[in-house]
Amino acid sequence: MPDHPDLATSLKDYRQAAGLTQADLAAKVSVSRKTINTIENGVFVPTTVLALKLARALGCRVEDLFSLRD
Amino acid sequence: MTNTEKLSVRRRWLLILLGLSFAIWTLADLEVAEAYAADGHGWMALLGAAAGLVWVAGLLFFTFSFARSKLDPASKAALEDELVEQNRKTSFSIAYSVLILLTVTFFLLSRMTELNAKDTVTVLLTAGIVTPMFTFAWLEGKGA
Repeated sequence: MPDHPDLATSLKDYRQAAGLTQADLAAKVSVSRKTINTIENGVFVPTTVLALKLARALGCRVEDLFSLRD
Repeated sequence: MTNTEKLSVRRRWLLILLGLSFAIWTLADLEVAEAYAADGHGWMALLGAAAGLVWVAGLLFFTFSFARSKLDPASKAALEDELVEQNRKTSFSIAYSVLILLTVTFFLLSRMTELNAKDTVTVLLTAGIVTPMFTFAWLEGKGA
């Protein structure tokens, strides 16, 4: 069950485009691989700080990774 | 499986073991269990004592296994990240709900019958300690 019904995420797309595995990205932002997996599946909503770290690690904006569902 | 995932799995299983051993140890001390044990089922008392030993040994092992100084920085960060923090909060929240439910149940039962105070407190204590352990272990296992 999604943690927040209004949140859509493109994290997986950006991660794969960067050629990173979940474990690689997790190591870059100091979280567990499972955390990345649950964010990608929309099960877990990251804090602002983690969202910013993810965006920085992937070289994009937070808004590219996360958006509100219409 | 990464080192962090191995540590997370180990933590989950240790929590389940600790929860089970504590529950067996304390519930074996209930008057109904003592009466059963006294009625030719002495193995119950032994089981309770063994579970108590497992609890103490397991707790020491758990504490020293995950002592912060032993973990490398990456493992430390990943084992205590935001998802773990949320799971911990959720497990305590569920435990609180279970305790309230049990307390209300015992309250209502006390209006209908005589309740053994020691046993009532033992059940509440066990639920309060064991529920967050099992819930956290379950949450950590989801999506793993």
